[in-house]
Amino acid sequence: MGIDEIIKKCEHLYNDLDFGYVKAWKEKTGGKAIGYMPVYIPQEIIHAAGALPVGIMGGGSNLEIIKGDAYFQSYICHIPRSTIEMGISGKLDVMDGMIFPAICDVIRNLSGMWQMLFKNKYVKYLDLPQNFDPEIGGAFYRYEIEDILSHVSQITGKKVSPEDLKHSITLYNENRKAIKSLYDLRAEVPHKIPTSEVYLLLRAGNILEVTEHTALMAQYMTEVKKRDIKPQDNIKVAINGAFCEQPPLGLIKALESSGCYIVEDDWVLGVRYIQEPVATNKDPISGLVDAYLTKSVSTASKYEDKKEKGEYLINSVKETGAEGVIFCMPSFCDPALLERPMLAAALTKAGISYTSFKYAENTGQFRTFKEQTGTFADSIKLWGGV
Amino acid sequence: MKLDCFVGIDLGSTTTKSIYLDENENIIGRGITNSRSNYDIACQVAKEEAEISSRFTLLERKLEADATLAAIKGTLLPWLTSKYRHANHLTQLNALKLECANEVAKRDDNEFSAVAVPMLDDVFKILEAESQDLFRPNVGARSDFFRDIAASGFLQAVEKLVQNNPKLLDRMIGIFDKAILVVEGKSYANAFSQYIKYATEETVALPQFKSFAGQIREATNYAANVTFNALNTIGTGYGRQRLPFPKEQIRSEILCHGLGAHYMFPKTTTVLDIGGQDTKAIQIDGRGIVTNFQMNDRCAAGCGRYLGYIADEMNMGVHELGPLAQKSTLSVKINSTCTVFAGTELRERLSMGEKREDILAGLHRSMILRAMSLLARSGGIFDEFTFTGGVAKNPAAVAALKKLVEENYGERVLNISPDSIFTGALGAAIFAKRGYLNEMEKINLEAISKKEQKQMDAF
Repeated sequence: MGIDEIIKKCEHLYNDLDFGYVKAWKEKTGGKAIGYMPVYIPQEIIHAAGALPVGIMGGGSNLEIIKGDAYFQSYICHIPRSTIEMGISGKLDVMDGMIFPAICDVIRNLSGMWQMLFKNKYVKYLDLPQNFDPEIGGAFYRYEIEDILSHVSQITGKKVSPEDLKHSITLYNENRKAIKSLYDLRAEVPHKIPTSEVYLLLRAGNILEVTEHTALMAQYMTEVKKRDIKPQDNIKVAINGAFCEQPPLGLIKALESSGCYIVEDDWVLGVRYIQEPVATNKDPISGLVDAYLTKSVSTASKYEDKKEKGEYLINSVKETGAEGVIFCMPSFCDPALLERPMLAAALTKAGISYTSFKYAENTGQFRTFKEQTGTFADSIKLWGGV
Repeated sequence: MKLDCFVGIDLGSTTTKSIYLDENENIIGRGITNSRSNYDIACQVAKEEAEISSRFTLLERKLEADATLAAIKGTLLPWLTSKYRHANHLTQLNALKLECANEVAKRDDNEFSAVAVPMLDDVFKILEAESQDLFRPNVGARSDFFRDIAASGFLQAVEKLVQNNPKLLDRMIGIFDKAILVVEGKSYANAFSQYIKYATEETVALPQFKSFAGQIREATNYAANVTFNALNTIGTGYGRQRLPFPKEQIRSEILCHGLGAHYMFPKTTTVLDIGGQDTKAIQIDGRGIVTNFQMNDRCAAGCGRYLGYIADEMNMGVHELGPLAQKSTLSVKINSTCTVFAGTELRERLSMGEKREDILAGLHRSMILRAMSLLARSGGIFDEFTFTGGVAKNPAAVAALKKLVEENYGERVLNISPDSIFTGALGAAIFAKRGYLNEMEKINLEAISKKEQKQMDAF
C-alpha cells in the first residue's frame, strides 16, 4: 500500500460512523466488541478476553444531532450529545458493551444514561484512580481491571489466562512503540509528515485490531521516509487540550496550513497514555497497574499532587523542539479549560509563547482559527515570541 | 348594523398580525403589517387591516346572498379588492410626497431644493403611473407592504433621474428614509368608506360590471356601514408588553400558538413555530393547552431573521430563497451555528464555485436541524404535527422538515395552514372569546348570588 492508499483507508475508518470494520471483524472472528470513550482504558484486558476494543470519539463533524441535544443542557460540550445520538439511533448497537473512563462529570453521567437506555448491554464506569499510592490507588485499580476482565470474559465466553494477557500486553507494547517512533519522526521531520495524516493513523487505531494497526503504522513509516519534501518556513508547535472531544479534521488541516508544523499534540491521547512498555515479566495485571501509576502521561483529567503543573508540557515542548504551544480545547471542556490558566502560567514562567482557542467537534468555520495561529506563527518567526 | 367580534393581536418582531373572530369562532378578518419601530402604530394598523379584511368578508357574504352578484363574484371581488388597495396606496403615496417635500424644505438648501423639488414631482408622477399596474387582479406584488413597494419604486425612479450623480442620489435616498418613517408612523387604513367608494366607482365603470352598478353600490355600501363591536381583545407576541392593554388581556405567545394550532388542526399534538427571532417547539393536549415547550435560548440563529440576513447577503428577496433552494440537487453541509459566520461560509462557498441553490438548501437544512433539536427537547414529534410561523411559508424549509421528521420519527401528519403566520393571533382571539365568556359567567353568577342574597334577606 502506498501512502495515499493507507490514508484513504484510515479516512474511511474515521468517517464510517456505522462501524463497518467492527461489524465485519465480529462476523469473521465471532468475537465481541467493547466501545470505550476517551481518554484511556487498558485495552489489553479487552483484547485478552477476545473482544475488539473500539474507541468512540463522538460523532465528529458529519453527524447531525437530532435527538441527542435533548439529553443535555446547552452549556456542556458536544461529544456526549453526538455519542448519545449514535447510541439512540442504533449506530452503536454493534458494541456489546461500553466503558466510560473517568474524565469528567459529563462523561460519568453519560455512563448513567447508558445504563438506563441500554439495559441489556454491559456498561461500565471505569473510575481511574486519582491516588497513585500502589497500596491505595493501585489496589483499587487492580480491582477495577479484574472486574472488567471478568465481565468481558463472560460476554465473550473466553477464560483469560495470564499468558493471554501477557500476549496482549506484548502486542500493545509493539503498537505503542510504533506510535512513539512515528511521533519521534514527525518531531524530527515534520515537513514530511503532515499531522492530518498522523491523526488519521491514530484514529484508525481506535478501530483496527491492534496487530493490523501496528502493521499499517510500519507500512506508513516505510513509505513516508521516501518522501522528498523541502521544509517550509513554518514554526513548530505543540497542541494541548484536545484529549477528549476531537477537533474536526478540517481544523487540524487549517492549523497546518496557517504556518505551523505540529510536533506534539494530545489528541487521541489514550493510545499514547502509557509511555513505556508495560512489564510482562511479572503478574500481568500488576504490570498494567504499575504502568498506569508510574508510566502514564500527565493530562488534565489526572490529579497529581506530587508533580508541578505544566512540567510535563514544558518537557515535551523542549524534547520536540516546539517553539510555542497552541491551547486547542473543546468549548465547555471543564478539565481542559480549568487546567489552562495553570499551564499558561507555567509556560510564561518558562518563557514559552502560547495562544489559545476553543472548538467543537462539529465546528465548520476555520478561518478565524487560521488567522489566529497564522499570526502566532508570524510573530514567533519575526520576533521569536508573542 | 353592529357586529360583535373578538380580536387577537400578535405583535411579532418582524410583522404584527391581527385576527377578527365572529361569535361562532369563524375567522372574518386577518390583518398583517410590518412591525416598524413603533409598536402602537403597528398594532393599530394590523387591527385596521383586519377590520378591512372583515368588511371584505361581509361584502363577500353579501354578494353570495344575491344570486346575480354571486354568479360574477369570482371576477368582481378581485377588482374591488385591488382597486381598494390602489386607493389606499395612492393616499399613502400622496402623504409620502408631502413628507418628502417637508424634508427637502427642512434642509434649508436652495440649491438642493431647486433640483429636488421638481425631481420629486417627476418621481411621484412615475410612482403613481406605475401603481396602476401594481394593483390589478392577479398581479403578485413582491411585498404586501407599502414601505417595500415605495422604496424599490422610489430608488429605481431616482436612479434614472439623477444621472450618475451619486451624491445627489444619496441625498434623495436620505429624504426618502426620513419621510417613510413619518408615513409609516401614521395610519392611512381607516378611511374604508372613502376607498371602497373609489373602488366601487372604478369597478362599475368597467364594461363587464356596468349593468350591476346599483347592486354593487348597495353591497359595498353595506360593508362600509357595519360597525364592529370588539367584545374582548387579547394581545400576544414578542412586543406584547408594549400593547396598551391591561395585563388580563395579554397572553404569552406560546399559549396562543398552541391554541391557534389546535383550532386550525384539532388533532395537533406537536407544534413547531419558527418566527422572526425565535423558534418554539410546543406540545399540546386535546384541548389546545400547552403541556411542554422549548424555545431557542442563547441565540436566534436558525430563525426567520437568519433567512432575512442570508437573503440580504445574496441580494435576493426573502420569498425567493425557498424556491431557489428547491432547485438544488446536491445539499451542501453548512456547519456554522452563527448567522454571521454562516454568511461568511456562504460567501466562501460561493467563491469556491458552489451553486447558490445547493448552498441555500444546506442553509435551510441547518436551520431545520436546530428546530429538530428543540423538538427533541420538548419531548419529540407526535401525530399530528403542525408547523406555524412565517418560515412555514418557505417551501424549502418545509421540505427539509418533512424529510428529517420522516427519517427520525417515522411518518407523521404534517399540517401547514396557508394562514400559519396568523396562528398566534388566532390563539389570542380565541383566548379573547373564552375570557369574555368567563367574565360573563362570573357576572351572571354574581347577579344570581345577589338575587339569592336579596331573597334570603327578604326571608
